[in-house]
Amino acid sequence: MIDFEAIAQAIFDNAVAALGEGAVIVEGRAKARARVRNLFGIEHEDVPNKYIGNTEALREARGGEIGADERMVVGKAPTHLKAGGFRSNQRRNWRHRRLAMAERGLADYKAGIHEKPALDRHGASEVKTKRALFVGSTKVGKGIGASIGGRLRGEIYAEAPSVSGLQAESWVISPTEYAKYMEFGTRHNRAFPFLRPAAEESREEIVGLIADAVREASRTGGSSMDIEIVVRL
Amino acid sequence: MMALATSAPVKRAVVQTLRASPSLVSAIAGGIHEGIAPRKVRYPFIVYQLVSAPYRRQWGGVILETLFDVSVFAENPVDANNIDALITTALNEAVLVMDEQDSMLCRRVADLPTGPDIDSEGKRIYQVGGTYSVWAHQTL
Repeated sequence: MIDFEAIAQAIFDNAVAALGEGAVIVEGRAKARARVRNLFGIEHEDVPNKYIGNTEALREARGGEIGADERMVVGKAPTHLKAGGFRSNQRRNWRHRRLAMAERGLADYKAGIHEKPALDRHGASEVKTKRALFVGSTKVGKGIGASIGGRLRGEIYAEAPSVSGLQAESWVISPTEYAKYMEFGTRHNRAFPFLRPAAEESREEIVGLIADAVREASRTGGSSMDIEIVVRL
Repeated sequence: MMALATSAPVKRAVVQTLRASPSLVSAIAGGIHEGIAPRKVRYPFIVYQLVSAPYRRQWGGVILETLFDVSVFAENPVDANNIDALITTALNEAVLVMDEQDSMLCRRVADLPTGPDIDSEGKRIYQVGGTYSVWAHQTL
């Protein structure tokens, strides 16, 4: 006896799962393409603008050895963090540091302490009005994460595939209010498309993923088959 | 072996096709701009922008699958929609002329979900447009 319904269901389930994987790929690409505002126009003593240069300096100091994950944290460690050394939770601290740096930059900008403040004019305005402050779901320490900039990128997400009858769909969503203006442009700003290019670039890969999933399911779908042997004499 | 052609000739061909339409050229006072138009440009005008241009490689050739957004900015929605219709007439199913590539497809694939906006002088302006899929094949 062959249960074709079970085989078809196995193929369908695998294809839906592959569609979900595809949506995650698009999400990743869209995040990589989404623009993040640069608030720090001019180099500040605490703001390592030139990551590569700093990384190279560190590489030299260490005799040519440096981890790939250490690139983002090169520079002066803020006083509220442990002095010296690199910590395992660098990315978390980097978010915290950006926030602290921007606030300090705003204070400097207001006081006119530096001839060349860390924030540029636009950046100061963004921090002052809290437009640049993005409070996301990323955890910093024990609380909810906050960072300066990166809201558009941080809010993009892929929904789990939904099935309706014999059709499945999966959405990659950018819920930020100004996402539309970034994607399509306005009279004042040119477009910086991030969702459509991500989808277009991933199209072949997703089709391949689904095809592989279908192939795999049709091969292993044989486990749904039960052969009944009847001997008639 | 021939050098791989980029999206630049496609872009040029799209603009040439738009400029080849006399009714469209006479309808736009502000010209055709890439990305963003200067502040003092008169309305209506057209802005086009390359969205994506992935290459699909095949045996003996490559297909460049480009997506373009072409928008009209006008001071009233009627003008914007009329010019958008002229753009569609000019570009939809057009055969683009390129040096090293063959035009495979030029089709309007979506409308842009854009609406009225306020410009730097406080005027209400309307942005209407569409996304065009342009495929160009190059034999390598």
